Amino acid sequence: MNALLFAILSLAPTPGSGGNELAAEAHREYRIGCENRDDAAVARPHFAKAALLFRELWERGGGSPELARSRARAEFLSGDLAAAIAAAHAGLRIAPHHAGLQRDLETYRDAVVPPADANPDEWLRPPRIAGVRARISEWDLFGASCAAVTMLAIGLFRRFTSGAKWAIPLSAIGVAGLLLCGAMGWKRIAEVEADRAETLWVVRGDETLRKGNGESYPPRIDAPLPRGAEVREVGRRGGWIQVRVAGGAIGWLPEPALRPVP
Amino acid sequence: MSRTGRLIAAVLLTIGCQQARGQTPTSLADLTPVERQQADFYGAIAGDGAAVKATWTLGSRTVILGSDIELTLRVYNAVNHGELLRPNLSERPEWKAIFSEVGDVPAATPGEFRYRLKPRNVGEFELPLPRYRYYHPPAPEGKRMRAAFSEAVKLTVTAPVEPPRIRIPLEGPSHFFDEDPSPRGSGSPSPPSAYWWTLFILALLGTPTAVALWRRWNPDAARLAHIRRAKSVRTALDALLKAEGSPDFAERVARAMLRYLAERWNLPASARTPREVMAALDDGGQPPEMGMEAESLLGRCDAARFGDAGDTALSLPGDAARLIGRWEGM
Repeated sequence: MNALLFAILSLAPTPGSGGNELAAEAHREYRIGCENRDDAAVARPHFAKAALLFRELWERGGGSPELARSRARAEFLSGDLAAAIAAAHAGLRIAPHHAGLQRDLETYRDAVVPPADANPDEWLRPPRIAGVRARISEWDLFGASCAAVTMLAIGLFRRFTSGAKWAIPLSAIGVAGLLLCGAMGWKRIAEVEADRAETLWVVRGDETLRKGNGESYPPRIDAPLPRGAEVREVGRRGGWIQVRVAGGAIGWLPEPALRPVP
Repeated sequence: MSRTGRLIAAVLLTIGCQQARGQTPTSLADLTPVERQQADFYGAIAGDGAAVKATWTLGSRTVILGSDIELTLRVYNAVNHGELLRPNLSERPEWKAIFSEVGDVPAATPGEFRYRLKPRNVGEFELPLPRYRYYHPPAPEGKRMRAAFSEAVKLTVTAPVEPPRIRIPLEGPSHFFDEDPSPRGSGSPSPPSAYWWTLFILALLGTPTAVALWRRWNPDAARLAHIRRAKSVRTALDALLKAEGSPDFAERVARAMLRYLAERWNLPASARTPREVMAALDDGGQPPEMGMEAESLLGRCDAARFGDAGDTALSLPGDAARLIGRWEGM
């Protein structure tokens, strides 16, 4: 029995671990930056180098929440707020439940300087990531489902063999658990799909939101959107992207002024 | 020549000699145009008994690249300080090679000329001082243009010293600097793959399969398990199981059967003997064969207790268990 279990588990796929040297170098640059935190002029280039290496790791396909978190922090400390926010969102795409990434994202959002006298109808800080996906991971659901299936299996087995009385309520709990897990999984998928329905962009630097796709159009909002502002794509035309700000205002921004969320 | 003529010539000769001795040039106007246009002549006319001296002096022997330095020319012993001309250094190629800027600075003192110089490069230089010629009247004709002696002037140009940099600390949450980012960057597990979900579904579907197989391999076990739902049955069967192989198996079997009949079929406590048990069961409305079977079994227990070797420690408990199973409707 033990041999069979071992054989089954040994066939289980494991997470990839490529790019160890790249990761070690990125970590080393990050550490050097931390050691020189008293001198920003010396520290920032090291954080920028670390961010570059983390980005390369990400593009190689080794994306994970922890990698996204490291990359986002390196970008932030190197001074690129927009890249930090984009990296945090990329990590939350993979693991919306990751509490560390959620906290870091709020830290980056704190650094975004909103327009003075901002109109709430035009500008609002994006809401915190909420819902089932922000609390429960796929592994949580899988574990709960396994527990429910176990109870159901034991209950059914005992009910149709020894006829134990406790088997019925146990089976009922298993069924209820499975239904609950199914409902939560469905809700989670719906939330993720809704989030991905509109492409998320991050403003690189202070940029004016315009009423049309051109410099000749008047501003939609008097104050320019600050560096790090998060906007959702509504449409695009001629190198310009129509976006919606968190407050609901819709306008146009040039694509080079935006950083996509990978 | 008459006496008067001789007298007049002598007077004129005296006057001429006197004039010849006292007419030392003291101004440029006293010089001929040729003399005035001599190369490197800047108008200095020496006085009696002393040569003109030209000294070049730097404000400092060392200057930092990018800074200015002042060069001063002082002319001594010239009788016409007010007429001295400023040597033009800005047009000289040898000066342009060393200095990017050569400017004139007004001097308050006659006979003094100041220049503001800006070096081009770092290094040590000897200034290419121009020859300074002056008019020396006491000298014989044709040798009156002399050059004033000037000591060499050396200048050292050093690289600029960078000002001490002000260190500004990097702002950021403290835990960004304290926590060690993941050295591998890929430690979190990815979502459950198809492999895990397949195992999950197999486990779910395996339950009815296991139930079917168990029933096939244990045909009576299910029914036995069913009847064991009653506590009295379970207790009796457990007691009979323990009686197997024990020395006092007959007594144990009898005790287990009596207890079972009392709990399950309300056998009165007064019914102890096989006949009393049969009578009590008949009075209780149980089927007649049940009473007879109970009497028979309890009789065998008594016989085994008192020496009859017909039943063994295995056969008697097993028969008792099968009897219970039949009464419970197997």
